[in-house]
Amino acid sequence: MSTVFEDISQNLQKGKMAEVKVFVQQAIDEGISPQDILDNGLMAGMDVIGQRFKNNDIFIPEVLIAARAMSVGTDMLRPLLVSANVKSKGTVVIGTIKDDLHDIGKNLVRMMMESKGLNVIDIGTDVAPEKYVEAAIENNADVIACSALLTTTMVHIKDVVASIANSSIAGKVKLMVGGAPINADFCESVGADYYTPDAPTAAAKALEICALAHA
Amino acid sequence: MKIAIKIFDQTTEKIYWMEAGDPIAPLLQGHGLLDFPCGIGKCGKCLIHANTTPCDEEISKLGQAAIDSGLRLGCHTRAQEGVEITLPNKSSLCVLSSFARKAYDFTPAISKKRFELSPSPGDFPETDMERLLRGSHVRRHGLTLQQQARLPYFLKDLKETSKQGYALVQDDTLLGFSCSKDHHALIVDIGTTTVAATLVDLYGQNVVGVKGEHNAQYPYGADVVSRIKHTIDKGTSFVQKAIIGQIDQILHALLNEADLDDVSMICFAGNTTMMHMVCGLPGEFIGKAPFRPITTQPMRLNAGELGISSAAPAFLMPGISSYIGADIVASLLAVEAHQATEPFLLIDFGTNAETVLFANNTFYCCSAAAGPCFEGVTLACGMPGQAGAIDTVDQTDSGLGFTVMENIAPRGICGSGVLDAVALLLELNVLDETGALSADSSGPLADRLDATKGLMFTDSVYLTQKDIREVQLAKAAIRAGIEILFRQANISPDAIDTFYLAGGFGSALRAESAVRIGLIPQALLPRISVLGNAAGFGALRYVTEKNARDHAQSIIDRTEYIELSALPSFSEYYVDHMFFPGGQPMLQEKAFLPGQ
Repeated sequence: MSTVFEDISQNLQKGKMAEVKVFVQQAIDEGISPQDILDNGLMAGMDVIGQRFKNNDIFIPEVLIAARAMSVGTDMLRPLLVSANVKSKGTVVIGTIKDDLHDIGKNLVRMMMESKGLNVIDIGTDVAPEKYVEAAIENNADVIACSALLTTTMVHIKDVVASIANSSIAGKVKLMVGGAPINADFCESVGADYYTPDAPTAAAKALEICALAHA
Repeated sequence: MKIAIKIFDQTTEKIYWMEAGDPIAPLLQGHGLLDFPCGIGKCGKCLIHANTTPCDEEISKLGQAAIDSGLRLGCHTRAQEGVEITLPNKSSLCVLSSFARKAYDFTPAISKKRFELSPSPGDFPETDMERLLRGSHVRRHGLTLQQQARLPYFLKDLKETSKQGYALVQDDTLLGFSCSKDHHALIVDIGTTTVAATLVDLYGQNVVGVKGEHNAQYPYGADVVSRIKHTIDKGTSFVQKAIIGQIDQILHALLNEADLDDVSMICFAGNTTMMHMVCGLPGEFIGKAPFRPITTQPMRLNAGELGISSAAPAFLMPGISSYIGADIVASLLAVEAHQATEPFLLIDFGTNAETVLFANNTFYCCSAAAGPCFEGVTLACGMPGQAGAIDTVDQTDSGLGFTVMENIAPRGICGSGVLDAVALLLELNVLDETGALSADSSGPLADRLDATKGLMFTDSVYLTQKDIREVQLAKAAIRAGIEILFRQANISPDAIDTFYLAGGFGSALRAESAVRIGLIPQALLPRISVLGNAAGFGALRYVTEKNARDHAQSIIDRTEYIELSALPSFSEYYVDHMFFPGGQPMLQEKAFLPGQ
């Protein structure tokens, strides 16, 4: 087993961009497939970050720094993955609900999802219900992920549920919800599909949904 | 099927009939019996004793030991046959009633004038209104219909009993009448958490009574956004009735104690949401982007119109924006901000940290959503600054030293204690700058550190790793707000002449600890001025200082409000300040948020 995976993972966890770049290049030069570098190097490192974040060992800044190092690596691999015709594991449309401007939690979820190899379309904050559906149709998404940080704005999630129900992708796309005031009861009461309490769990759930959809 | 559930509240026992299986929260909330701080089953603070079978969430939130002792969460409890519920004892509330008082030109907005009734000068009988206006030597009136309806009986009574009549006059307008010589004002600072009232003798210029209580709207949510949510779902009348009823009770309790019939005027200050709720105005759009209040203009109403049983005029102070309210304008009046020349910074720490930076003849202001962690709400053993709260923490020869409010057994830890504890952990290198508690157990706190509970003050009062994360989020939001204002004004903290700390937490915190955790810039440490209840003092000045209404307007006209949540760079500042100051952690470069 190549130690280069371990080098990539360790440096990614410490947020060391230059080193990640060096070791990803070394792996490419060693002839390791881009998919293997992604899975066993970059994503392995990000998995550790996700788990440690969930356990409160590390905090938001470390996750952001690791994600930045990860993106350096994925940028190098992307053209190789495209030419090797590697398929994406699935597509997620993510955004913060209408009337709500909070974006840090949503960005964390996006980064965790990207680190699972998902194709994530971020449509920003203050997103109207129909915009989620439009973006999902346009990108052929498997999942719509909807974040709300305020008790006054989480009520709009039921409008996203309605928008999906009235669209051509009703029954095809799954709706995930999250954010500080949201819980499983709320998710069920508005008819959303899945609630997850934190970013790493959200990413794991999205991957699971996509895997089922692409099975 | 309706079943009976027994509720014990301190000394009383009551039976309520409920549908089996229904949650008890709406019942307890509706009767104002229990506070549900988060209202959604997440915070673990709505503690009750009950003989129910605990659910998984209760077990995970409270731990097996607490469950065994009969502790349950009100929000997870449902009506079932034979259930008996015991509510917690409500502890008394310390409300800050002291303030840094200064002398000023004391000219109450309302004056009390004697009036003389004399026979009509013409052939026809004058109207009652004409008699009153002529007798009081004023030309206009602003009496409500209710007051006008009472007028003939009031005048008849004066004549029959030969009592002296008095008119309440502002400038050249008659606003009330009475036959009592007493001249008092009620000043009310309506906080989201607490309501503080002061009764002031306007002749003697002295305080004759103070009263502080938890805001009676508390059962409708701990923070303004959950209160607003309640008004969206259920209408404005519940929250309005709660606060008006409370103010009415406070007023009459203070009047009784001072042996008075009524006050001559009332002045309200509070955040913009509270000011809306007092008036019964819907706050829905304060709670959603772009956060537009209905009004922040000053108002003068009659207390009776608001539902308060008093005939006094009520002044509602002006505010600045949805999240910089009349209470901050009041605090600014208290520090005579209208005539400030040197740069100053003023912060009122609360669930929102309202921050005002004066420089370039402009009041730059913002409101940082700190969350209620310094008020104890989101921490495992957090509690407000009340009896039983650990309020200071120090290192002693034997390791960990702390003081408890009112010297009783510790029940929890309040904001000032949390700041001290985190600062101490950093100082002893038990906590690193990223906010990770170290597992190393060789230092002076070794026997106080537990792998799951974190720093243990007692077996049941502790500060966890997750609590420290909450502190990081709160302090990062506040510090980001401060830094953004400095950037906006293009000055550095060194240029600040005075740093005013307003409010309860601001008055209780140890500034060195606040600097150590990075909540406030180091340069401000020697320039701190603690104000106490500045909003209350400012509201008093608003209605008793010559030209104070103009001073308030002159401040408001010079404000520049910055909505942090709409500012793209806020996230960067916020993440930048999540770490604690210390050595150089791995974060050499500026933390970033990948763009969208």
